[in-house]
Amino acid sequence: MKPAEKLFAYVVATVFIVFLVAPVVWLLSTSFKGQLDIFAKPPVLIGDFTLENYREVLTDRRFMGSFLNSVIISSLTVVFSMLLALPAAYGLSRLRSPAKIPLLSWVLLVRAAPGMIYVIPYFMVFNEIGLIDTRLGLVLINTVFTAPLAIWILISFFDGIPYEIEEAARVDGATRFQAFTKVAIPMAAPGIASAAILVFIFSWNEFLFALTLTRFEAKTAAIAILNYMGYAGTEWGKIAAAGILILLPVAIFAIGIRKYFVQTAAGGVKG
Amino acid sequence: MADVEIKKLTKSFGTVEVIPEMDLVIPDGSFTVLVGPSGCGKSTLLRMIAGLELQTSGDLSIGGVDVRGRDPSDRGIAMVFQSYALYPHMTVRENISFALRLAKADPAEIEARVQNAADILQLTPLLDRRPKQLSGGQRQRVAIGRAIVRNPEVFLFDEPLSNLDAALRVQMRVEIMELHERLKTTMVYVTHDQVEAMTMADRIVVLNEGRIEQVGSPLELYDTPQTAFVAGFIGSPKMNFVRGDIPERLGGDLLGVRPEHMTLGEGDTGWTARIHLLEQLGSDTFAHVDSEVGPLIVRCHREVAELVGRDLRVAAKPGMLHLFKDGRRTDAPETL
Repeated sequence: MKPAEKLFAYVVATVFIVFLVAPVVWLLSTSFKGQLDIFAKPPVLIGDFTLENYREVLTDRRFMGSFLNSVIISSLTVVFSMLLALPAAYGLSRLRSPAKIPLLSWVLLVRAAPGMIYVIPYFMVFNEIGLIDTRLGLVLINTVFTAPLAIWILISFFDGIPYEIEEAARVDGATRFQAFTKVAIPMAAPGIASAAILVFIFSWNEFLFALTLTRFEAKTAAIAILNYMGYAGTEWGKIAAAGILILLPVAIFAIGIRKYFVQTAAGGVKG
Repeated sequence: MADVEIKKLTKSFGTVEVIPEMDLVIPDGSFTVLVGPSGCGKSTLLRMIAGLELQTSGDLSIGGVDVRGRDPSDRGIAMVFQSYALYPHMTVRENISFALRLAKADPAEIEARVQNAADILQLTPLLDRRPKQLSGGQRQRVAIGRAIVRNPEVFLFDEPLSNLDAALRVQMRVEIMELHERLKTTMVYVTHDQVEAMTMADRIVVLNEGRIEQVGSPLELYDTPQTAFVAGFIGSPKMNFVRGDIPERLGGDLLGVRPEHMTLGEGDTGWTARIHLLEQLGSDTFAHVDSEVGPLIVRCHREVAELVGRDLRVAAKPGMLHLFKDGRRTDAPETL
């Protein structure tokens, strides 16, 4: 790379990072500020350091209840999505039929459609069967959107498992199901981890359905933040502290993803 | 130990007929090599014996038992794949014991059988490694170990040495032959490499376009090839072929002479020829000759190098002619 090109690359990368990171930095800074520093003019990055916002958020039972809802709903969404996506992706990967491509397109179409078009039908159905404002309701609808994502990620990992290894397993006495559980799934472990993490993050950040299909009981953390925007004014310090708390699991998982993307399937067959 | 009997076996993929109709008996305890060019149906045949492909029609029995509809694991076979097909997430020990663990064998017996296989294949120091920590030869040995522990009646090998480098291939060739000597189990071995077939087999089945060209011992195939295809396929360098007037005069349409059955010199008899290239192998010298009947290869002594550039004569040794008509062997005269 020529020096000029290198400079250009650094400039572009820096601008990009500033755009991505600046709001997070500002959020982090706000979360440690008192009300006066938050509205100081000119703005200050670091004001009088305080943990008051965190203390108030962490002792707010309503918010922490929602936080727990988020953890439960996201975790269950991962379980439900994987239970559906693993066999589906494996089946689609091994399918030798002209129907394969149309089937895959349909899977993607569900994922690509705007969530808004599902809101009213789901609301009406959930209302009839008593799933409004329940964790199960959100888990189900999140699964509808995350399972296709997981299927698409997993297919490529299953495609990467040589067919001969499963044939070897069948010669060794494995049933099709055992070949799936004892050979294909362990070999696709990095893909399964990546898919699970992305499903978790999607479910954790999901806003539209959590807003429209919950009221009090099943409210998630992303929605609970709105409680801090009341008639009496917006509690920016708490919003920032809650925002950081919500960001934390996602940040941890994002770092976790990197190590799982390392390919571990090497060595089984001649590469 | 068991024989493999194939009767009127056919295989089609959709409208493509891969094996038109085949009858074959693979004798108990033999080392039978299925050899042929790419796409001749040899791997498909092996996979049908294994139960990984189902025959379109016909009968297939192993040890006198009709295995149609039986799972691969229920046929008394074990298979070694070209790509090794090891389970990368398992150690060598787990790879070798996988079949026994699936069958819920007694742990003490599993350990004993794994140890026995590891001893035979010199894998004992590697038992706790994973496949990615092994060399190609070691991986293929693990694949063979995985087959051995199952005490199969028939071993199936699908081009097991193709992924190894030349030196390792020779070594593994010997190891597999020694294994056969030791176990005396029926082995069916697929390869496209006729040198492997010649060196390893006690019986060779030459396949071409899904049909059996000839079945016989390596030397039978070499000395009396029944078809022009076998004559051209078995032997390295290939048999020399002469077409046109000369074979027609003898009652055929193709005359074959092996490179070592030709003489090259400055005599008066034979076809006129000139050396255009020499291949020196140390033990042998192969002269590539432009002759009046076309290009020929002649095995010579290394002194032939002195004859390069001169007008020479090339001739077939008496009694060493192969004559073919419509692809089939026909009686050839002693001399031309």
